[in-house]
Amino acid sequence: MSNFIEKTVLSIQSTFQDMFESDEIAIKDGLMQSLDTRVRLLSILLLIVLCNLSSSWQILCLMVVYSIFVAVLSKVPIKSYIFRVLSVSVIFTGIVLIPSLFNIVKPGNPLIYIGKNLYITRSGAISASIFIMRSFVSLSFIYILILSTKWVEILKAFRYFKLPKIFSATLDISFRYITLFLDVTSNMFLARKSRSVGKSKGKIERRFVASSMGNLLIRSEYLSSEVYSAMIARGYKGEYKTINDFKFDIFDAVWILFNISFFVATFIVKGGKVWI
Amino acid sequence: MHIPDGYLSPSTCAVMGAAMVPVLAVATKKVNETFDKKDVPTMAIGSAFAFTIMMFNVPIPGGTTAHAVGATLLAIALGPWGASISLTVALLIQSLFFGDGGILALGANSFNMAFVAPFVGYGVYMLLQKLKVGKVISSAIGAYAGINAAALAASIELGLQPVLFHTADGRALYFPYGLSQSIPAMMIAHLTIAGLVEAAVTGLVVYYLIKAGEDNLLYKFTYRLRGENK
Repeated sequence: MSNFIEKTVLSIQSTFQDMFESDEIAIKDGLMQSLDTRVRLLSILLLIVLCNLSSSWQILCLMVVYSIFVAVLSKVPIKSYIFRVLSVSVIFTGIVLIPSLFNIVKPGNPLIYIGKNLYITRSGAISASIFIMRSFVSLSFIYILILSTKWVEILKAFRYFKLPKIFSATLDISFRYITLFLDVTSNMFLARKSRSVGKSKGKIERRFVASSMGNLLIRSEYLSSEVYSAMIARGYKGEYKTINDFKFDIFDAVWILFNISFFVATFIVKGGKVWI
Repeated sequence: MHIPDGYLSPSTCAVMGAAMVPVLAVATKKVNETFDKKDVPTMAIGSAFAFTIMMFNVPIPGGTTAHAVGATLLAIALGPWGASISLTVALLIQSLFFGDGGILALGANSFNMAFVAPFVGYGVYMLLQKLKVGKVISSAIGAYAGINAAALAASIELGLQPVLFHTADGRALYFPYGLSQSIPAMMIAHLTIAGLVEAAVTGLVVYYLIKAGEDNLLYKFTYRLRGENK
């Protein structure tokens, strides 16, 4: 049956599943869950920056292990976590990197000969493995954050960091309507699927996709004036106020201290030449 | 076209992020001026829309599917400044909640897809409108130009990595392919498949809106940008 319909419906469903799953994992009793959301958000960002600054394979190996360790302690389902992280960092990035291994793209010292004049270079292999590890660590920390935190909490933390109103408020409201739009889209596609028999032409299928987009645009325009009226009815005057109930406690302090000492230690071991 | 983390050096990410700050500052000001107090709900629904249409699978010849970005469509509907904010928020949601495109690379990704794409697309669209070309054709060509400009920007950002960041012996620290490899690789894919998908989808959406008698919607919010009265 129509492939693109199923693909779209399935990807929307997996989005909903992700939202549901992260809510479930977020209420578990894990390492990440015990931290203040602001601390969680900032420390994850900082860890990603550090791993991207590092170009030493030893440090990156350590960070790979560290990220898996944090995932386990945060009670993230390891199988799906590893699969998701690997599919992008190793499979996608790996395919992108294959040509860079060979001497025809970038000359270098030979490591493994494939043919007479074709070999994998040493520098190519080192670069590629560092690249993959870096990509793994970055993605891994992001998944740990999104799986161990309720998305509403992340949005709350954003508000705390005083982004310009148009961003924090937009982010907040748009997040709620994404769920609605995804549901509407999924219904439109399912309705189409239930009405079609046999194969349809690509041209007609594309026309269907475009008209559903157009239809969604019409609905969004209508919705935005409805939402605006609803906001006015609740006293909106161009100001967007929210309630924060964050609490910084001993766990946060321990976590921050541990991370700082961890990185200072690696820094000292590597003779201060690790970063940059 | 979503660049993941690890492909660009942190300093490139910082530069691209810094480049987006004035763009977003001006966009915020423009949007506040043009949308009265309706800015927040309109931008929010706009980014929810942008996010959702990026999930639409578009069938392409050969049995596979592709995605559209919808930057030009959004620029025609909300004006380029409004589109910039909506798309940035959509990209932020994608990277933060779905791991789609890097967090550090958000500056670069939003520069390409939330600044270059809508502005080039809108510029081409407006130019063709002045030349009295039909709305459907203008929007399709605008979308084609917009997405390709964004792809070019992305390939330049990637291609500069081995030139700027390498070890003393020339080993690449980040993205390993230079400009001579990254530009053709990105542009061939975008000048052919991705660009045509974007053009066809944008053109068809505009066609649909005209047919449905709802094409006013495309210009509703941007009347002040064009100096017209309601």
